[in-house]
This record gives sequence, structure tokens and C-alpha cells, in this order.
Amino acid sequence: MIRREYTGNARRARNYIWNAAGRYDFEPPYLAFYPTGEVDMYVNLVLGLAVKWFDMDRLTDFFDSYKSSRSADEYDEFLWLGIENCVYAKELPERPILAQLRIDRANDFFRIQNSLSRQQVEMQSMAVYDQQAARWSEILGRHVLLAGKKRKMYEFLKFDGNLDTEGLIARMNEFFEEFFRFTPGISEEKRSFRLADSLRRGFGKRRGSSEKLMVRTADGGGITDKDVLLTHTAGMRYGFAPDKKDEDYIRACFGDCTYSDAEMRILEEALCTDADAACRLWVVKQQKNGIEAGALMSAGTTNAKTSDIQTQSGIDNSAVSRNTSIAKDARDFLTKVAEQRRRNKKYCEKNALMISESIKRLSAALGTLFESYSRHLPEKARAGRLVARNAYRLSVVHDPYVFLRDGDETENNIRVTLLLDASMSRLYSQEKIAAEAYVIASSLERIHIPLEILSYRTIRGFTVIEKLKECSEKRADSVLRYTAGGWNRDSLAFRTVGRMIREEDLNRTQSHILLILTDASPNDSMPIASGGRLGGKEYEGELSVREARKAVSALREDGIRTSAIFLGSSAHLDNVHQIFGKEYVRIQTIAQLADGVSELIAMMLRESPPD
Amino acid sequence: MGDILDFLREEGVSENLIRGAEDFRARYPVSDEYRDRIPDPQYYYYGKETWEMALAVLLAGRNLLLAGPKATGKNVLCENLAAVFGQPVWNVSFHINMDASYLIGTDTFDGTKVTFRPGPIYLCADRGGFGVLDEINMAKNESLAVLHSALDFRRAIDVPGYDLIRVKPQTRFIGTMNYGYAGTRELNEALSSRFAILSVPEISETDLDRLIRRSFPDINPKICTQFVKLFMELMRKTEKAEISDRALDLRGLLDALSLIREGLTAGQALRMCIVDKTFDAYEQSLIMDVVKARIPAELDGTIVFG
Repeated sequence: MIRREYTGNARRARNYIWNAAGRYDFEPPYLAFYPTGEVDMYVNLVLGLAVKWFDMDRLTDFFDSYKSSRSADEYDEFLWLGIENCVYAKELPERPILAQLRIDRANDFFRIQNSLSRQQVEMQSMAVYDQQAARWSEILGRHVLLAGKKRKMYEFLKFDGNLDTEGLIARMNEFFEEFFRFTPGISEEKRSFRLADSLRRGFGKRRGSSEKLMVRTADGGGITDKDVLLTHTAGMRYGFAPDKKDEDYIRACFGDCTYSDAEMRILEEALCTDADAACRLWVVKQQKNGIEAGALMSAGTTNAKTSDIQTQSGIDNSAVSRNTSIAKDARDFLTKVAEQRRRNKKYCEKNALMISESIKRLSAALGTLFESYSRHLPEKARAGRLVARNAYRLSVVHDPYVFLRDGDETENNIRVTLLLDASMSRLYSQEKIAAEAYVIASSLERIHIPLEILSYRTIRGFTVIEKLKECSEKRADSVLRYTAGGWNRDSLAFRTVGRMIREEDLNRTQSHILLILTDASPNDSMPIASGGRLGGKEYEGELSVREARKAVSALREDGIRTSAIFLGSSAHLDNVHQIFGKEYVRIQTIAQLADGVSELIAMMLRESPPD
Repeated sequence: MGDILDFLREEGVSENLIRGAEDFRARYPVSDEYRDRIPDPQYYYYGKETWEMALAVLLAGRNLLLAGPKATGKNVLCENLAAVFGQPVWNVSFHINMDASYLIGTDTFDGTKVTFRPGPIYLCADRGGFGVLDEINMAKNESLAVLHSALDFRRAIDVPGYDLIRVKPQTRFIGTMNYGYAGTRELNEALSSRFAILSVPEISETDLDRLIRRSFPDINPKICTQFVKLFMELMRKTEKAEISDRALDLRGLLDALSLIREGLTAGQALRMCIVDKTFDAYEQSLIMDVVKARIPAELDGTIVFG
């Protein structure tokens, strides 16, 4: 199920509904607001109370039975007026304040009507408006100006508070027979989001109404069925060892490799072996002006903007410039990167509140966790552990500070690396992954734990490790440059990152934690090598999972605590378990991140505490 | 308040256990020096089953660990238990920087020589009474290792360089812990195995209603119900992690009623004692929404009481 994320007033509205329903196990997909954006407390309460008092599955059946009618919206409005009367009567003894809230809502109705523009008024269904105005007028003790059939309907819609679900449905059937001369049929169709759908249609399809806005609050960044499958379709398989042209392409897209040719040869000889033989590696650092700038220079683009960058930098990459095809491909990629960066930022801005709350919670939880593994530096005190060699000072110089106690200052020796899967399978979750990485990075930054962020993907036989943030950088904003694209040869990427971690800590003085944000679906167009040559077996499915598991085991044997934050589809749950054992946590919403990540790290530290 | 044993009888707690507590009182009288450490509870804990389990554990000479979320009355129960057994209380509030020297004692200089200044666990073991280890899981497990010998069958504390302290037979240790709290950690097996662990359930609607009515006998019953339901709604919201548990404050709810009696409106009192317990403005608005859907802001003492 795709969980929707709500922020700001939407979360408040949702809480009203849940609170009134007395249950939190459903997602209200539509919420009630005034045109000003304020939460419509009363209507949200009524939505929740309907869930509390009735069997919503059965009501959904009823609503479904006439949904193909052109007047379905209008019918919904009438029926919900009736339901409002019914749940009000039912709930009033338990919640006496409802009477006052109803009066407040009636006042709001007329206040809002008076502020509507002429066009807005014209768009309203007058039949519905008449009934609503009459209902709210009566609540305010005003005279109800209805006669004839309208008056009869008005009286009919005062559904009694004694009705149960069956009685309510019978009453609604009578309503249709009495005023519209038809009997709704029972729908055969079974819908998956039945409860949600009833609520949506309840106050949701308010055709042309401006009295309140029912805002669909779903937003991007989530796991969808689309990101489950990525297969090697015909023509996509990359059956040859990468050549110079491929290297030019990688350079054009990502910029120059951080390591020298000699260093890369050593790295590749050590890591590109067995199943990954014939693969290549590329390690790049996030450039000061972003990867786009650096890489665009290499891509040799011709437009004015990038030419300026090229001129300023003074870099001449004529070999690449000559290859217009590569330049074009790289330009497309870089444009995508720039666009994605904007989207990531926008997503974070939109969810700023949730993100800041998650950072607060995660940093508090992690702070406590890491504190357990930090050492308090001793300080001199008047009481504590006596330092025998200084004891003479007591009587000789009357210095009482000859004791040591644990001071407030602490030191710890833990370093965290966050590795992001940047393959195409993450296409539909890019903003979410960037935001989650941002939350983790900012939380660790707050508690002064050094963090490095890397991403990995495989293109044209090159497994590219991109450093998004170095340990020395204070701010985590650079993680918002995260973009998905390419394949993911997890085994090679994991081994490379393990090697990089060890290269930076040759004396093994630090404890390392490697957190991998992954969908546990290793997949590459370059087949698995056999006997040093490219064999016929694809790097996908069970074989690729086995390779990734071997890489993770090797990392753990090397003392790097490795675990996964799983953001994938349920179809890959088995994979994540095979690759990472029990050391993974599944996250579906950013709100779960704080609990999930802190539990995961607690488990890692418990299983193998730092030295 | 009256004798807490009468309250236990009213609650229907097993007479055997109550008699056991009376025998305990008689067997281990408290000297005048520590009599003022025996609590005189302001609130009683409600929950017959929890009472019976706790009394049985302490009568059997075991230590008790009360585990449960916020606002379940763990500290009230600790205080009540000490009152039932008529024993002085030695309180230790655990924190992250807690170490062995804080618990057992530390060297200090008294102006002429280095002396040993006993800590609360030492005093509790040596003088007898109930040691309340509040929020025990706030401390690091390794700092608590010094308690192992005091808590298990050895019932002794060996203070290096000083003495072997035998734990008095009437001494019991009662730990409290909250799993989900910020700053808490899991107890290791070595420590948790030395306690009988009692999961303190969340207060039920009926028990909360009785608690409020016992504390405020003149409260209007219908309004009392609304305050109870408000608390239950906040509890549910906390369970579902929609709000933090800062506002889930039973003491706060009782304080709010006291303030209403003093002349504040319900809106003002609940804001001070419940809503503003959290400092996050957004969370405050979520809590305020629950309050607004339950209690009229202008409600005052003349309506709530009498």
C-alpha cells in the first residue's frame, strides 16, 4: 500500500478524523479545509465519527451502487447531510462540546458564503446549497425558508441518531425512492480502499464548491509498483568490456576520477575480480559547484552558459569535445541531474516540518546511543577516584583536587558511511531518498559523528562511486544532488566502498558503520564473468543477490559493520534478508526513519560493540 | 490520606498479601531517624492485578522492575509500595553520567583526611529500606554492574578498600523504566535477570475516573468523564506516535483541575499543564485540537466543581 505523507494543516485534519474515529489504522485520503486553508474541524470530526459509528465497508457498497450516475456528487452531498445529523445525535452524549462546535461551523458556513465571488456562487449546486443553508440556519436558530418538496427533503435528511448501519442504508434507499424515484443497485465491484473511498466521496466530490476545499494530499516520493522490476531487455545488455569511448562518456557525465590512473589500476586489479572481472571503477568527488559544472566542462557543451563555465575553469577537454554524441548524451544526463536537484530541494522544502521533526528525533535517539559507546574524559575533582601520586598535595599545598571523576567531555571513535543506491530502479523514489539521506546526515552532524555520503551506480560497465559529502564537510545539503540513473552492481560497489573506508583508516583506529540505502535488487547490464571472461549469465536475480551477500560478508569480516535501510518493494524483501541477514530496517515513510535507523544502529552496536 | 492498607482492601487485593505486608511492617520496624523517609502517598495506584503481582514479588524477597510507558503511575506505585511495607525510600534518579561511585560512594576530603562518602545504594543496603532506581535504563549498563551482587542471591556490596556491606533483609530495590523515552537504552540481560519485571499497564478509563474523583471528590461527574476521555485520546495519539508523550502527563491533568479550582478557565489550565508541556509549536496545535474537540475553553471552576 502506498502510504501518503501529510504535512502541516493536512496532518491536523487527519488527526481530527482519527481522533473522532477512535482508530488510526486507515488513511483518510481527503481532508476538509476552509478556502483560507484552515482546517475545517467540524467536518473532519464528522468524517471520523462516521467511521466510528458505522460499518464503512457496507456504506461503501451503498455509495458505489450509484457512483456511475451523473448526479452522484449531488447525492453524496445530500446523504452526508443526513449522516451528519445522525452521527451528531449519536456522539453528543459522549461529547457534549459537539453542540458548540456545530454552532461554530454553522456561523463559518455563512461567513464563507458571504465572502465567495459571484462565479464561485454560480458554480454551486443550488439544490445542495438550499439544504445546507437550511441545516445551518436551523442550528443558529434562524427561520428555515424552504417549502414544498425542498422542505420535505430537508425534514427527511434529519437522519435519526438511533440508526445503525443497516437502518442508515435503508433510510438512504428510502431517500432515493422518495425524491429521485430510483433504487440504487448493489455494486459487485470490490474496491481495495473501501473505507478511504467512502470518505472521499462523502464530502469529497463537491462539484464546483468553494465552501471548503477537499485537498488531495498525496505527494511524490514513494515506492510504487513501477520500481519493482528492471530487466535486461533486448539491446540493453552490455556484453563487452568497457572501452575508451565508455570511459570518455563516464568522464563527461561525472568528471575526472579522483584517483590517478595508477591508483585506479591497483584498485581495479584488487576489486574487479571473479564475477566482476572486466568491470571498471570510477570514483568521483562532488565538485565545489556541483557535479554538473565539472562534468559539463568535460562534456564540451556548446551553449553559452556552460561555455562560460568552461572558460572560467580553463579546462580543455578537446578529446571529449570532439565526440558530439558523447557530449549530447552527457548533456542530457546532466540536465536531468540539475532538474532532479531542484526537485529534491522542492520536496525538502515542502516537507520541511516533517524533516526537521525527524532530524530532531533521530539526533536525540542516536545521541543517546552513541553516548553509550563514548568515553568520558576524566577531569580533576574534589571527590572521586584518588590519584595516589598527587595525594601529597592535600597536606602539603592544601589542594583538594587530587581526585579524578568522569567529566562532561566525551570522545568517540565511530565513523559512519552512508551509501545510496543511485540506480534507475530508484527513479520513483529519488526525492524521498535524498530527503532521508539528508535527515540521517543532519542528525549525525548534530551529534558530531563524522559522516561520509557516497552513491553508486553502474553505467557502461563502470561502477561509479560518487562522494556526495565528505567527513570534513559540515553541511548535508550536497546530498540533495542525489539523482538516480544506471544499473547497480552491488557486489562491486560494496567491495569498493569497503576498500575506500580502509584506505582512509589504514591504522584501523576507528570503528566503522556502513549504512546502505537500497532496494536490494542488484542488477547490471554487464553479465557475470566466468573464468575472467564475460560469461552468459546475467547479473540479476538470485545470482546477483548471492554476489552482493558475499560482498557484505567480506565487509563484516573486515570489521565494517554493514547494514541496510531498505526502501524497496515487498517483492525484494527476501533479497534484503539474504544479503544483509537480520541487520536491515524497512522504511516506508520519512516519519519512520528516526525509529528505524536508531533501532538498526542499536542492533549493530549491540551485536558488535565498538572497541 | 487514610491507611493505604484499607485502600488495598477496598480494591479487593488478596487478604493474604495484605496480611503479609502487615507482618513485614511488624518484623522490620523503622527507627525514628528514618521515619520521615516513609512516604505518605498523595495519590494511590489503581489496578488490583498489578498491586497483587508487585506485593507478591516484594514479599518473596525479590527486586521489582516496573516497566511501562509514561503516565502509567510507576512512581506512584513505588511510593505506594514503600508505604504499604512501611519502609523508608532511598531515591536514585538515574542519568547518563551515573557511575559506580555515585551509587555506592566516593572518596572525599573532609578537611583532615580522605574519607568514604556513602552513596544511596550503600545507605539503602546498610540501613534497610526500599531503593527506588528511577529510570534505571537511563544509565549505561556498565555503570550498573556494581549493583549485580546487591541484587542477586549474594545480597552484598564489596566496596574496594573499605568493607563488605551485607544488604539488610528488609531491603528491596524497585527499578522503573520506560522503553520508548528519549535517552533510554535497553537493560542488559545480567541486570534484567536480577529483577522480576512487571509491565505496568496504561491506566484504564475507569481507574482514571476513580483517581480523579478520589482527588477531587466534588467534581461534576459528567465533566470528569470529559477530562478522562481527553486523556485517553491523548494516550491513543501518543501510542500512534502522532504526538510525543510529553503532553501525556497524568500529573499535568490533575494539576490542571487544581488550577481550575483556583479560578483559571479550563482553556488556560489545560494550556499550562498539558498543551505547553511540549515546546514544539506544531505539536502544541495538534494537542490543542484534541482539547478543543473535548473541553470548552471557557469552562470554569463553578461548573467543573460543585
